[in-house]
Amino acid sequence: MKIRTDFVTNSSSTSFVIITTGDFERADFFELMGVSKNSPLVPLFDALYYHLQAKMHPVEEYFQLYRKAMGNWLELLQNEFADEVVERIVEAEKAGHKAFIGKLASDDGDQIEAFFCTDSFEVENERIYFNALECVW
Amino acid sequence: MILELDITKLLVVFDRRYSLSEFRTASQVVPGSYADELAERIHSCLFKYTRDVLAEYEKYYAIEYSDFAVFLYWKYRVDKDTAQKITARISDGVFIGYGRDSIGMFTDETVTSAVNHILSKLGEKGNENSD
Repeated sequence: MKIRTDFVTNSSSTSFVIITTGDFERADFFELMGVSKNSPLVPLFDALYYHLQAKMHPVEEYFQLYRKAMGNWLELLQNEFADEVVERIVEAEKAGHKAFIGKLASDDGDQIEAFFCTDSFEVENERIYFNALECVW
Repeated sequence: MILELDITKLLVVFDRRYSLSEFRTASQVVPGSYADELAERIHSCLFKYTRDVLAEYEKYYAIEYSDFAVFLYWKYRVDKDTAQKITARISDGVFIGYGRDSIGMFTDETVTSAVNHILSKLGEKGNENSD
């Protein structure tokens, strides 16, 4: 758990990072999260999957969209993420994998998105790396 | 029934208090996975961290309030109609719990439907959600 000690508001948007070896497929995502196909939790993780899919952008596009920034992507990444995460993104791009960054919001009126926006976790398997450690209020 | 009293407070009414192991099994998630952890968190805020409101009433408040429905109304701000419906289920031996550790998504239809689906696998009959 992380505790933010500076000014805290009751609404938030938080960044996540997804790295994939191929496309961001639903079946791969469910395997990553540990949801079997008959699980009653499928609709909840479907909602998360579609939120992520709608809000994830290639690194360069993310900075243009959210930071109105262009140019030195490494520096921009370093300003926003931990060194380990930056390293993973750089290595992924070198290896020809796909790296995405996105944002989830806590005040868009969707409780599922708000929950995952404020949850902090990191999971990975051989096809997907999903970092939501920046998800703190 | 899951009543979100505010963003963190819940009142739940279920046929019984379900154990974590049976809730996990019915969730059909991979042990040790993120989904498994989420199932446990849902279980905790519905069953583990909820206190038995009926036991609390009988032990401390029965002398103070004329009946359980009145107690629910004044102590937990449950509307009178819902309080009467909950009271009518006492004779079935239901579990009535109050908790202050909600994960804040129990008025979402997708989430309540998923929870009801899990509980229906465990034989829950009276798990219709109301808001």
